[in-house]
Amino acid sequence: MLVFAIKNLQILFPAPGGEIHAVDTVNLELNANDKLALIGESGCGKTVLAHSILRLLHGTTKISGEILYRGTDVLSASDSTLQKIRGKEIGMIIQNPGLSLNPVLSIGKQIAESCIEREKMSSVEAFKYAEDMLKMVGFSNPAKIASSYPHQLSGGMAQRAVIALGLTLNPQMLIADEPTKSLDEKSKREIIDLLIEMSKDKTLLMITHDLEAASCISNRVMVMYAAELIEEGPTEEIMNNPRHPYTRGFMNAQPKRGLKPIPGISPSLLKLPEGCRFHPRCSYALPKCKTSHPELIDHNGHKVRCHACH
Amino acid sequence: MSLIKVKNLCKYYSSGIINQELTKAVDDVSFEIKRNEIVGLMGSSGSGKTTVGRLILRYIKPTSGQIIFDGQDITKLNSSNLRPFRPRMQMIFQDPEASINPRMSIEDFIAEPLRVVKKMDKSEVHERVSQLLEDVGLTEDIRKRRACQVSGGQNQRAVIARILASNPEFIVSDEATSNLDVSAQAQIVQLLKKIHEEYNLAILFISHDRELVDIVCDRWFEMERGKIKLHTAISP
Ligand SMILES: Nc1ncnc2c1ncn2[C@@H]1O[C@H](COP(=O)(O)OP(=O)(O)OP(=O)(O)O)[C@@H](O)[C@H]1O
Ligand SMILES: Nc1ncnc2c1ncn2[C@@H]1O[C@H](COP(=O)(O)OP(=O)(O)OP(=O)(O)O)[C@@H](O)[C@H]1O
Ligand code: SF4
Ligand SMILES: [Mg+2]
Ligand SMILES: [Mg+2]
Repeated sequence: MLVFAIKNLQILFPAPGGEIHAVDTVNLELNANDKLALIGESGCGKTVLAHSILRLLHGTTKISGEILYRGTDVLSASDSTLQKIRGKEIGMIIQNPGLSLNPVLSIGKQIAESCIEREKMSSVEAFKYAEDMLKMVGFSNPAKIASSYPHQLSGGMAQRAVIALGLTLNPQMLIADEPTKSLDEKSKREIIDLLIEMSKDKTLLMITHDLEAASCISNRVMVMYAAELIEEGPTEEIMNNPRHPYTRGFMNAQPKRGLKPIPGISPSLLKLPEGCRFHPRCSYALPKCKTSHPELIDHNGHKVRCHACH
Repeated sequence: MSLIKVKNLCKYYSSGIINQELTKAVDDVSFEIKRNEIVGLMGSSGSGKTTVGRLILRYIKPTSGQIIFDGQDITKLNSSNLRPFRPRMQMIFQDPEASINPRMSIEDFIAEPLRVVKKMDKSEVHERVSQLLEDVGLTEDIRKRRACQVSGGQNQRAVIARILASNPEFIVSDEATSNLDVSAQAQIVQLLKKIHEEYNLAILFISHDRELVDIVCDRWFEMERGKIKLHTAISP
């Protein structure tokens, strides 16, 4: 069953000297049970895309297209509809713990507050529940963590607190932006298992630079480059048989494959190159790559945006 | 001679209002780092790595122990006495948003040490910022934007550019590539290695990624509950 769809989404930020194309004509569909990993270049538009889903972007941002959650267009929904969707229908684990944790509230209080407000729990119940959530994200001393303030936690501890916060209302669809960031191997393993468990029969959109986490959790992978989708397919297929030259270069940059960066620099989103956006860095480029912008073409369920892939 | 020498370093936090509980964030840690070394620091979440970094750069005061930088005891220096040391030792913080001033443009943020410490004039500053942006993989159009107007990884790279601007002798790199894609991570790591080789930059490289540490570091050690658990020489 189709739960979530994005149609022709375009997001522009007005900036000196023009507009920044953060998300360009993105289409995407998620079924109830889909776990999608969104990967790609730092700065290519992943977080902006995620934030647009819950309408978290600044008012001056130009957004067009449709974002449909169970048939409701989030972009045109009323504020009260949106409030109902946020947290409970669609939950979000934000990329930056510093911005999603309130510095003057204890961790336990931050989790408990939304339970009291949204689930009508009593304060005692809510605090008990907050400790359970903290235990679930791997803390062996949840009572101590619940009474701590964000600045008293280490990077990985704050990251886990942010995950607990995102999972608090047990959302039907979860957006997780870099959930395994700054975690050690053991906590990372625990969080991966937790995300698998929590997203059973649910929809997951995970943004990640961690290809191992993407492999473990997702059934589909989407790759973005310079604001657009360039490759999409089943996880195993993308990981083992990437076809777009960017995705291939990306896979080869992993430490275990020798830590070789893709040469060159990603284009400015203010002045996107004509033709294929990857052409200035591509070693397979054909003459037409400079002038003609490739379409996303479906090759038996593996979509690629490249003139050289047939 | 060692650039950094840490002896019996401890940092305890007391927390809990009712029953004063003591968190031994760093507990009797000793090690040395030479000028030509990149030393890895690994260990589970909450084991004390960031606290060690902040202590040796004296962003915080140790409970006890001694920190020697380039032969000088900096353990007890106050902030004005620490000032001459600041440009020489720098930390790439784990959470880039925490170290970037949200009101400043990315350009001013990177240029500040060039103006204040290096006393460069306007055109020199402009040129050097261009080079730094290119080195860390950012495009020119980012100059006028603020921290809240760039991505997580772009912020992280701006922080790295600023730190490189003051030509430090020692860097604590705390999960410096955690917000970056694998290609950008490779680029930053190659950049740090290059500067290390050209200028003898010493680095304490905090990371959870064992493969990365193996590639980048000359040797590494591991912490657990505030103590050094394992000391390993990768190459003698
Ligand atoms: N408020 C804003 N104003 C102008 N440009 C912005 C704003 N927010 C983001 N951008 C730009 O939009 C692009 C997409 O940013 P986004 O945060 O989505 O990147 P990302 O893919 O999540 O990257 P990372 O992996 O580094 O987190 C970036 O190039 C960024 O500089
Ligand atoms: N200001 C503080 N007040 C109280 N406790 C603190 C403070 N700063 C750190 N701690 C505690 O000290 C311990 C070590 O924290 P530190 O940030 O050094 O860990 P870390 O090894 O960097 O972990 P991570 O890999 O998760 O970043 C943690 O238990 C943390 O909660
Ligand atoms: S379209 Fe051309 S330039 Fe673009 S990735 Fe394919 S071969 Fe390379
Ligand atoms: Mg992001
Ligand atoms: Mg840390």
